[in-house]
Amino acid sequence: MRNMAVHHGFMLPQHKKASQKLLSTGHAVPIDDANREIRRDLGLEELPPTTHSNKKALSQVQEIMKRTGFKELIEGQKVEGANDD
Amino acid sequence: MMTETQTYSFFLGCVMPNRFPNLEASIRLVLPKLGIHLEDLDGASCCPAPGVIRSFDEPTWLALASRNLALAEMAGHDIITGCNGCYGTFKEALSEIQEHPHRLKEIQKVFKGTGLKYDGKVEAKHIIEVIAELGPEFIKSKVTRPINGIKVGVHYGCHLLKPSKNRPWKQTQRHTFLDELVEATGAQSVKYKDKNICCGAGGGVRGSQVAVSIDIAKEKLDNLIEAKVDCLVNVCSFCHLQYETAQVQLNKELGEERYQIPVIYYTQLLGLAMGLNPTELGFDKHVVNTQPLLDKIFD
Repeated sequence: MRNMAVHHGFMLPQHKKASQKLLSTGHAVPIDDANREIRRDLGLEELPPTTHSNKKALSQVQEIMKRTGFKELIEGQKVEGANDD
Repeated sequence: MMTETQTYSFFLGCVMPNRFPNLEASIRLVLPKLGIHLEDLDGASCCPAPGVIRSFDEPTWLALASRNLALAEMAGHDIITGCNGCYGTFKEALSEIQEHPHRLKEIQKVFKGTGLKYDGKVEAKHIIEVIAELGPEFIKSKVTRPINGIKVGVHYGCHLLKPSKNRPWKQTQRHTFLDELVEATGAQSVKYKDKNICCGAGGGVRGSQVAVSIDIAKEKLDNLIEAKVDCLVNVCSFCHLQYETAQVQLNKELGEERYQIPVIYYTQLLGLAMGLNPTELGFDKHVVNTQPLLDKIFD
């Protein structure tokens, strides 16, 4: 149902924001400064070994989202209530 | 595909490394002591979240989930995660390509020229699944500091158990494996009302309908208070986030301090029982103060 809604231009602003974070970082919930510090305190790498610390991996993830049409879907997306149909 | 030495590709997801790295630290400390070796899954992304990204565009969800599974497959290990949502994504993505082989071909087409190789031969495990496979007796044998006198409210979470058709647990509505693993540490798992209720965070609810999400969390928190638990023990980073942050929000809204239940991840509890230091297990990095619990344990 939500797939249909999104493809017809209906998406909650919070959901669009999470999708944009995924597109730009590879994470729907990316790291922040406070948690970089917590990671250091715990003796972990400041950035986890994910797309956060691997640009090539992030590019690969972004390429996949481009190929599946997700990038276009989200970047061309209107938020709920803004649809003129 | 599990190797003899029980080496897994450790999938972190988003919430664990980026909001609650103390859970990650406890897993990295405790699992090797149980003979379970973890290899970083370098370059992994969001799983992606089943209740969010799958509900927006299923093919993208399947492609990104398959990429994470492909990284593990190429590393020669099964994938392991400590988040119920990520676990759900991987179990269901694997089920999708097994039941509909043309979906695997679609994924392989998307991956063409990226360097990714994927045949869907990898398995997805949850941290608590491999601990449960070791069994409560084995866990008991590792306990050097029993967590006696502590009442625990166990929270399983939804995606760990359902859909039951592609989960490894026995077919029942009343699971006990996590209660048994908690009791193996010396703590007592107490009965409480509506134990299997959702935390309220999944399905994109926390992200967009915060009031509804917090209201669902409140129901369980009230039941836990009524059962006089010393802490809640969970095995999901997203449920963990929900119960930690919901208590702060509820106290703020109500102008009181009613909600003070420490929210503990299973490997933190087990780590304490194995004699590890609370600080290295990240007990000082919680949202809800864990000191009253630690005082009671070390009293």
